[in-house]
Order: sequence, then C-alpha cells, then structure tokens
Amino acid sequence: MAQPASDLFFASIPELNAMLRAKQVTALDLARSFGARLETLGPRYNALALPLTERAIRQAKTVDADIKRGRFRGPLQGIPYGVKDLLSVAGQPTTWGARPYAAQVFGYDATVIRKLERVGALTMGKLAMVELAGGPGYRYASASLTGPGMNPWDRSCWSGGSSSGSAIAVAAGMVPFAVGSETSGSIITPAAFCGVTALRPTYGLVSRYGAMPLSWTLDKLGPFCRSADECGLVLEAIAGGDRRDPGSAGKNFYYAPQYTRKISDLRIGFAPADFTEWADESARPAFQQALEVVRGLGAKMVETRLPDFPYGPVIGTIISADAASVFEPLIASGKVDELADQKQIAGLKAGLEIPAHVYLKAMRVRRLANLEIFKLFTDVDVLLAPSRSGPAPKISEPLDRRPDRPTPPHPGLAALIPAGNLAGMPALSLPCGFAGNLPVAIQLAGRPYTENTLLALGKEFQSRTDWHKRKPPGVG
Amino acid sequence: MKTGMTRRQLAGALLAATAAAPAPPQAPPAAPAGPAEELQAARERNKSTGESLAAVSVPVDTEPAFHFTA
Repeated sequence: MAQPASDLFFASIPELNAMLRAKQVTALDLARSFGARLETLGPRYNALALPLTERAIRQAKTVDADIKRGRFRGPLQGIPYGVKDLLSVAGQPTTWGARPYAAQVFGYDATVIRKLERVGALTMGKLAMVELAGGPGYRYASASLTGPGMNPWDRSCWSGGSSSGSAIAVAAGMVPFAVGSETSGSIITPAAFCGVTALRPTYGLVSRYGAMPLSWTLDKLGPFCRSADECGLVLEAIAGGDRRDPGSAGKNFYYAPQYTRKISDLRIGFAPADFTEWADESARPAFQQALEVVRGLGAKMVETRLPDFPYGPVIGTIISADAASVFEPLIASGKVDELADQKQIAGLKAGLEIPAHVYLKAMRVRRLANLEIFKLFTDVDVLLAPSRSGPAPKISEPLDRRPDRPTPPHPGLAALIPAGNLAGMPALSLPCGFAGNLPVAIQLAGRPYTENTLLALGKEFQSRTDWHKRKPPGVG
Repeated sequence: MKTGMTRRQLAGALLAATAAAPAPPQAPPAAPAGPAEELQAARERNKSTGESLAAVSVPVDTEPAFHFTA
C-alpha cells in the first residue's frame, strides 16, 4: 500500500474489515500504518505507555495468511487496537501508570487480549493511564507515569481519566478502538472529554483476569470506539465467562440491536435539572439539543430522579478500603511515596485505617441503594443524563475544585456515575456537541445486561447526529 | 419605604428566603501544604464519609453487597 490516506485512520471497524476482505489493504499495511502513527502521535498527547508494533506485525502476517485462505474470523480480524496499561501482555512491562511498577512484567496475557487476538485483532500498544487507575482519588492530571493526558481537541486541557490513553488514541485516530477500565467514571469521563463513544459493560460481563485490581466489586473493562455500533462489535468479542475472574457472571454477549424492543416502546427517564442547573453554562445548548434529538427518537420521556443515598461516601469508602488492601505491600514498603500525586499517596495510607464497621456499613447501604435504584426500572427502561456536567478542565487546574456555582436543589441523576457503578449497571457515553472547542457527551444507563438496548438507542442517536464523526484539529 | 408588613413579618420572610436560596458557591479547598497535612486531610475525608454513612439507617437484616457462593 502507498502512503495511507488520513481517512484510513478514521475509518470505522466495518469499513476497515471490508477493505481487508476486498484486499484493498492488508493487515500488515494496517499494522505498519497505525503503528507508525501511534508511535508518532502517542507521545505528543502523553497517550502511549508502550508500543507493541513488532508483535502486531507478527499477528498481521498470520491474519493476512488466514484471509488469503478464506479463513474469516469476524469483524475485528486485522483491526488494530490498544489496551490500557493495566492489562498484562506476556513478557512486556505493565506499569499500571505508576513509577513503583515501571519494571513490572507478567508472564501471561489478560483474557481480553487473548480473546481479541483469537479473532484476529492486532495489539498495537499499551495506552497511558492515571497511576493505579486513580486509586482512592488524585488532585492533578499529572498523576501518571507518562504525564498528564492531553486532550486531542485542546492540548492545554485534560483528556480525563483514568483510561486517558484509550480515549486519546481513539479520538486522534491512532487506533480504531481501545480497551479501558472503569471503577467509578474511568471510561465515561475520558470518553466524554475526548469526544469518543464508549461502553461501560455490566459488572461481571467482561473478564478482568490479567487486569490490575482496584476495587473487586466495582472494576469493569470496556471498549472505546467511534460509534455505538462498533462498541457492540468489540463487546461481543471481549465478553464471556471466565473461571479465572471470581467476579465473572459467566454470560456471553451477542450484539443484536435489531432484536431489541422498538424505541417507541421504551421509556427514557431523565431529570430536566441535569441539563440546566447541574450543567456548566457553556455546555447547556449542546445538552438541550441532545435532549431534543433523544425526544425525537420516539421513546416516552419520563421525569425521574435517583433515590436519596450518599453515593459518593459509599463508593469512596469501598474504593479506598479495597485499594488500600490491594496496595498494602506498596504502602508498607514505603514505595507508595514514589507515586506522582500527593493526594493519592495520602489516600492510600489513610485507606488502611478505615474501620471494618465503616466499610461494612458502606456495603450494606450499597445493598439498600441498589434495591431502590432497580425499583426505578419499573417506571423507566433507560436513564439519560449528561456524561459529565461540562467539558474537560485545564491540565493545570486541581481536579477536586468545586464548581463555581451553587449546588442545585434538585438532585436529578447527577450522581449517576457512582450510583450506576455501585449497582453494576451498563452505561454508554455518546458525544453530543461542543462547549466552546471541547466535546461534551450524554450517557444512557440501564439495568444489568441491557447493553443491546443502550447500543440500539445509541446507534439511532448517532444516525441523526454526526458528533461522533468529528475529528480533532491538527491530527491529520 | 412602606412594605405593608410588620418588622417581625419582614424578618420572617427574609429568613425564609435565605433558607430557600441555593447554597452559595464554595471557595476551592486549599491544597494541603505537605505530606503530613495531606495525610491529615485524607483522614478527615474518611471521618466525614464515615459520618455520612452512620447517618443512614439500615435494617438489621441487610447483608453487605458482597457476592459469595459456597
């Protein structure tokens, strides 16, 4: 193949797959082109932890031989992708984004990587992340071994985290898709800030074997893509039971949006305050426009709100205590002080002092909250809210700064990220416009295992909008 | 200025309006000065979240949201 056209880097997974089958490109072409781009652009945005181009080239040769013999292995065959650096690749450094683990090497591949390679996807590299996936909390975007994730839409702004590199790499056309993780907000936030589509699957649907643990009953892995349709294709490949993950639900996922209920039969719950009082002023026009597009899909819109629970303290206690236990050897060794973010260091140390009764109370309140949240779904099928209340902050800003506006009196669905994670609910983030030069997004969340419903709605939304097709300036 | 209200009624109305008004924006918290202050701040946050949890009444038969299969 001659010099690749820039459109190749923003082609969809089905388009690339069709080009491979039609022999317009080879997998080797894609591995070389995307590898060069990832190695060039990745460092510019602090998105790349480790290139794996040679490994991808070896895989690509096998894929090309398969295609030549007519052995087609599905829509991801020959498609380049990247993984968050909390997933182990045998024999390669897996740093978890943190200096104390810079030389860590595991001898096995994570289950999601095995599954993706089995269907012919090309592992191009490990992508940057916030150290220890954010642990119990961090103050600055610089809380990463690779430096602050820079937003492809404006390098002076943060990419969001903790799956920073996964969102940046997809937004800037360095890979067609990536895998990230979420404990509370680490998929939805960077997807929203970077203007890409991403899915946080139901807890237990995707095996976490080979992934860094942060909080056992909350950790999930999910895809970053350009469209909802592509998220469905990737989820089908990575979902499935795994006896090596104690949290695995033992369920498969078959992407079949055509067999979900008609959109006109669905009830979408939303809170008007989320799109006005809770939203940053600069993002309100985009959110209002997105709300109107969703209304136009034909579903019944129902005003709702989350049940009253202290979602922040509940999830904060669980993550802090779990993370302190996971990283107790790091804390005891004193190497915890090598982390980049002082708030994270202190949070891990203090997490060891959380009394058992407080942790258990958090887990019992979680049980009550989940019961009440699931009652919501007798009145609605899907919840709709902004993914984040506004666009990405400046890299230099402290992330724990409170917004310069009064706290609205109506709670709405503003706590949907912690509440949805506590309940193990799936959520889909969809780009829905801009606030100034930065993207903003809406999220759709549903009952566990309703990914097909969310994806069908997302696909319909994206058939009426083109926000997911926009390219950041200056990325070719 | 005549309002048609007694001073007591006016004070009551002002108090009610203040109570109903949304909370004013809070100043950003100052970042702790050093590691010791940072650790103290983390302990304070844990204490505060513990108090929020203590305020929630939980029926005695509510089990923690762990998953265990024998």
